[in-house]
Amino acid sequence: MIRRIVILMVLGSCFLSPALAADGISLDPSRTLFAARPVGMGGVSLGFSDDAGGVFSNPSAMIDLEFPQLVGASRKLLLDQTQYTLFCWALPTDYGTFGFGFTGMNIAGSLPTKLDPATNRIILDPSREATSYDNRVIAFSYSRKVREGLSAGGNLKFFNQALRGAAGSSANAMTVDLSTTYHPLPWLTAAANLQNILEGNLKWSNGASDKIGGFYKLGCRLNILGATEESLVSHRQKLYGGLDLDIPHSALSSTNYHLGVEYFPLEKIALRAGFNMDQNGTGLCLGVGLINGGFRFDYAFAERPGIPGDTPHYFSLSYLGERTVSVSHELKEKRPYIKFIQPRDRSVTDKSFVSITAEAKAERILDTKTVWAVTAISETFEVKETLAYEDLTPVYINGVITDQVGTIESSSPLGVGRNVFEILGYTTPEGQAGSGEVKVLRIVPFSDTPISHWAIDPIALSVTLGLVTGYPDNTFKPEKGITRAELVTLLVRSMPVKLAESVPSTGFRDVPTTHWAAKFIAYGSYRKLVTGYPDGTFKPNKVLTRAEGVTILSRYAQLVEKEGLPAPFPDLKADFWANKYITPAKEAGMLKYLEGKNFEPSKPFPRAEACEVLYRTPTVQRRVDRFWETGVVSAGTPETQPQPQPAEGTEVPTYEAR
Amino acid sequence: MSLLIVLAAGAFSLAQASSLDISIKINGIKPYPGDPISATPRIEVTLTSSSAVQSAKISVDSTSSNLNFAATDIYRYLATHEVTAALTDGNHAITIEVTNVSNEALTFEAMPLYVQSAAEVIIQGFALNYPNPFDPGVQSTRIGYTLSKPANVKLNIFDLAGNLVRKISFAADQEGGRAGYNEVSWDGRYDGGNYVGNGIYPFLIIANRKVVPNGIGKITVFKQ
Repeated sequence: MIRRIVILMVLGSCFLSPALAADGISLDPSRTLFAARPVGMGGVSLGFSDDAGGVFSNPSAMIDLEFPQLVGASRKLLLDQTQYTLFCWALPTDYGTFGFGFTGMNIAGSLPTKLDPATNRIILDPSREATSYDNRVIAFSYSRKVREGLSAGGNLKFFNQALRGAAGSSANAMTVDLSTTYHPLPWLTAAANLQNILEGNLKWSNGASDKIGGFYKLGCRLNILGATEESLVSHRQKLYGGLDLDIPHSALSSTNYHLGVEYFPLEKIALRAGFNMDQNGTGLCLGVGLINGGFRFDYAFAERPGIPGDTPHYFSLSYLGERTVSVSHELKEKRPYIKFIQPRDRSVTDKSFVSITAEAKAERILDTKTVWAVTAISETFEVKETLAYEDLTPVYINGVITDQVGTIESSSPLGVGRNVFEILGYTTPEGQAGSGEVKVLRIVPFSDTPISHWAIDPIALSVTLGLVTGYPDNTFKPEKGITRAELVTLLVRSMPVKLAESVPSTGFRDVPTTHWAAKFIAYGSYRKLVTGYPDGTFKPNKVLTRAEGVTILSRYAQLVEKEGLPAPFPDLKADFWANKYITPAKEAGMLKYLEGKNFEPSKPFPRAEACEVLYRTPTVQRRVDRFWETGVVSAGTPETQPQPQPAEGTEVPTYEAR
Repeated sequence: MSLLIVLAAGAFSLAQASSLDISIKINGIKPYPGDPISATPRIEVTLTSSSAVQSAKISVDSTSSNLNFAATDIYRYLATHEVTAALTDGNHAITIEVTNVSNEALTFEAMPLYVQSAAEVIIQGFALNYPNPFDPGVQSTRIGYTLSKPANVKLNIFDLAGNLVRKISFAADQEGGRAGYNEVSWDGRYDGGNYVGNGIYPFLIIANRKVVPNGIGKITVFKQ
């Protein structure tokens, strides 16, 4: 559609030009932009209309603007005879880029004359007023992307001219520019701007008429160097080259050429050079642009051939916009802390020394404010809580000051038993304090239970708490199947009860009072932790299976029996008799060591497993916690020892032991 | 009967016999008091006399030479004198004395005329155009200026933006480049032939690649 419009306008313009050739040709003040950037590049502008100057030079090139743009310039032209003013504004939106531009020129002091009757020479005529002349144009532009790599734009220009003084008259006209920008290659931009394609007809108030002159401008831009893929040669600096060709229409006669380069040795400094070839001749142009804070100051040095002595200095100021991000922090709270890296708290070791590594720091809780701003245009911000860290100082290790800060490293001998290390640190000598503790249990391991044993923690703590003992030969026999007597002993020892040394009858005929575990069996039977067999025996030396052991421990932990649930382990049938004990034990975390494994219910229940499962019961965990915190190993306030002695001849309750 | 021409300082005047009249041009320009002239002026003397010339003498300052008039028409005689020795910078006077066979005598004196050779060319007074405003479709405008010395001159006419509208060159010995008063005309057209639109068109008179002092003027184009 746009292409059709362009073709029609070009053809129409060709037919209109000869028809209107009898009128005078008037200057379009926006024909050449005297902004320092294009002037410094020899007048090249079509491919470089990426600022607000594009309103006049090539609206279609403004589609990639990110921010609103301004360009302004004002100076005297032609040996200070003409006052020139340029102002352009461009606003990128979701619907395309809109622009507004004003260019004005005025001149005064054209003196009326007459002939001297004596000499017939030309002299001033003081009886008439000098003439002044204004020539102004305002433009409203619009551009948008047609498809990837192709954009189109145009502007509607309204002219106003006025003569005042000896000749008084004014005129208005309207014209249209059409432009397009195309990227045939990533590094190549081709552009065209058909200026005044409608050939505005200036109707003067005294009846005279003129046409607005114009050019068909063609141009290209090469991205020679650059850091992006849109450059011919990859380089951290940027270099652009451009060539414009001005083909006159509306009876203007001169074809103009403009050749220029723009080089960025640094991101915010542009150096420019070019040749301008027009009806005045060929001139070398130089320029520089300095970008800061979203603004660009441009300077150009350009001598105009045909105007000797003309001021060659051009200045302009542009607003380009710049996105900035600033971050500020406000301290909200400090949280000092001590974090032990080693040793692990509540760890068990057989070493006589321990290396201590800890962080003694403070969390700084900050309100971090991030402000995103486009210079002089908009500002948004976000505040969120962030963390930063600072070292504590001074730092004390077990009450002794250390000169270390941040990561504290030390070593200390370990006594057998529970060892406590405390680190205390301050944000300032009088400031907030943070402290941390780590406890280490040093043991003398059994000869058959190295420190690397999978159940060393439960075994060590069970031994430390007096729940279990090793053998006189300094072995623990962790893999030995635990007997019924041993398990009952283990359970009773974990309970807050003190048993009398003298033991009445256990009620089991195979457990005499002289049996080493008689008192434990008697109490365990009394508390229904275990039962005997129907034949009145207890079978104290019978090794428990895993199912039996877990059942006893589940009862000990007073877990609620759960029936009718799926089998808790893959190798157990749903109707396995011990599922109702195994399932709650698993759910209570007592069987973590069997995760991912089969239960193997008939496998003997070794001493290590018995310690492990017992260690996971809440009762023992409470004792373990108390031990770590206080070093107390006793079971607490003992109960009165019961006397579960059945009367003579009384039927001994029988239970089915499983 | 004879009459003597008397020239008052600063003006040309003469007392003339009823049938004698003299006019001069220096390098083709009719001089007026105070006009600059070339250091080697070519002086054309036109004599109107009812009878033939008996004797004629021209004096440039104190150097006198005979003038040889030739008849160009009835009662009209023309003589040319070229000053070969360059005149020094400063004011000079030209005196012409004529006697015809009817014993009528006439003395013509032109002064002061000054020579300036050492300094750069300047324009005396203003560079002006007439008529101003002018209507290109109806008339041309005459651009007049007085050069202090002969020079190769360019007359560049611009639009407001400094775009060259018309460029005209004059050699030092042509109208437009001669010492003294010059007048050239512009028809209000671009170099390409089309008329300019209404407006003011500054012009520059350029010599030796410089704008001649006072060599800036502004032409108003105003079509009726």
